[in-house]
Amino acid sequence: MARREEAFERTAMVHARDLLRFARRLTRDAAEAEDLVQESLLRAWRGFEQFEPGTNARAWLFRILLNVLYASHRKERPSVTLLAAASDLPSAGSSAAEYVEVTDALDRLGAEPRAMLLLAVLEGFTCREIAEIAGVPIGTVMSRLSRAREAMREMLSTPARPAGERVAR
Amino acid sequence: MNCGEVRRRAPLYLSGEMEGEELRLFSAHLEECSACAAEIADQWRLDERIRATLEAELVPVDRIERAVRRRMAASARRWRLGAIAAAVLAVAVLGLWLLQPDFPQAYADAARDHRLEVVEQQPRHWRYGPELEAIAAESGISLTRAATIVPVEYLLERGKICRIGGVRMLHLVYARGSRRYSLYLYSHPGSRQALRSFHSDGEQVSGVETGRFRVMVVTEGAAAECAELAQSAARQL
Repeated sequence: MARREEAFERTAMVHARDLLRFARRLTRDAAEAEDLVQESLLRAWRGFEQFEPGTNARAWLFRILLNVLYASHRKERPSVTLLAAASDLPSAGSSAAEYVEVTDALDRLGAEPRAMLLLAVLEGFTCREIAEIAGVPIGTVMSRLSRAREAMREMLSTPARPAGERVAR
Repeated sequence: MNCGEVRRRAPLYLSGEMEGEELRLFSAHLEECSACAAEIADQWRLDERIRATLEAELVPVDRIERAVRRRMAASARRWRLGAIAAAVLAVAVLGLWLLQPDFPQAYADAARDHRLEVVEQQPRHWRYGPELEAIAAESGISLTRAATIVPVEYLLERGKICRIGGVRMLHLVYARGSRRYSLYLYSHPGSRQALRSFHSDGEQVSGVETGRFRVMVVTEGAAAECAELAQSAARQL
C-alpha cells in the first residue's frame, strides 16, 4: 500500500465508525448516512494534502461531514424512516425500549441542536472544537447545547411510548 | 459566580473544558447552591443516558470502508498512471530537445535571414570576388572550395560573415539564372547529422552536419533541389 493510503488509513479511516454513528443519528436514515459518510471520506481523501498532520483529524472529518450534509441541501425527513432492522438495535447494555425512547427524543430536536448535542455527548468534542466544526462562535455552541439538554430532559421525563410503535413500518 | 452564570457556563463544565479560577468558582457555587448542583447532576445523567444508549448501537461500517478503499485504490491507480504518462512525456520532450538543440530554430533563423537579405534585398555589406577570399578563409575553407562545393551550374556570387542565433557563420549566395540560393556554413566539430529538411513560409531549408561543419541551404525552390545542394556541399567539405 502506498504511503499516502497508509497515512489516510491511520488518520481518517479509523474514524469511519464514529462518523457513521453520528451520521445515522443526524440524518435518521441509514442509507443516507452511509452515502454521507462515504462522500465525506472520499472528499477527505481527495483533499488529504491540505490536512496538516498533528492537528485534530477527527474534528477535520466531522467538519467535512457537516459541510457535505449542508451542501446537499437535504430537507429534514419524517423521523419514522430510521433503522428499523433488528440488527441495528443495541446488542447489550441498553434495552430496546430505552433505545427507542432516547433516539426518539433526539430525533425530535432540530437538526442543528441535535448535531451539537451528538458532537458533545456522543463524540466527546469540547465546545471549542464544536465551534470550529460547525463554524459558529463558542457562545452559540454553549447556548444551543443548554437548550438541547433542556429539551431532551423535558421529552424524556414524559412516559416512553411502546417500543414497537416507532420501528414498525 | 451566580446561578445564571453557572447555567450559562455549564456546557464548558460538562465537556471538561473549564479550568483554573473559573472551575474553582463554579465548583464552589455548586457546593453552596443545591438547585444548581441538582441541575448539573441532571444534565450529567442525561449525557450518560444518551451516551450509553447510542454507544450500544451496532454500526455496520464495513460496507463503507470497502467502498471507500476501492475508490481510493482506483484514484491512486489513476494518479500513478497519470504521473507515469507525464514522466514519459517529459523524458520524450527532454530527449528531443537534447538530441536537436537548435532544430528547427537554426533553420528557421536561416530562412528568415535569407528572406530579408537575399529575397527582399535589404542593404548589407556584401563581399564580392577577391574580397570573399579573406572571409572564406576565416570560416576554414578556401575561396576555390567555396565556389566548387555546389554543382557547376551554380555560380558563387557574393558572401559575408553574419550572426544568426548568436553563431558567427559564413553566408554565401549562389546564382543559377535569376534564382539565388543561400548557403550558411560554420565550423561545428564533432557532430554528425544526416540531411534534415524544413519548410518555413515559402523558404525551403536543408541542413547537414559533416563532423567538421554545419551546412544549411535556403532556397525558394523545390525541396529536392535544396536538399541536393546541401548534400553536395557536405560531400565536398
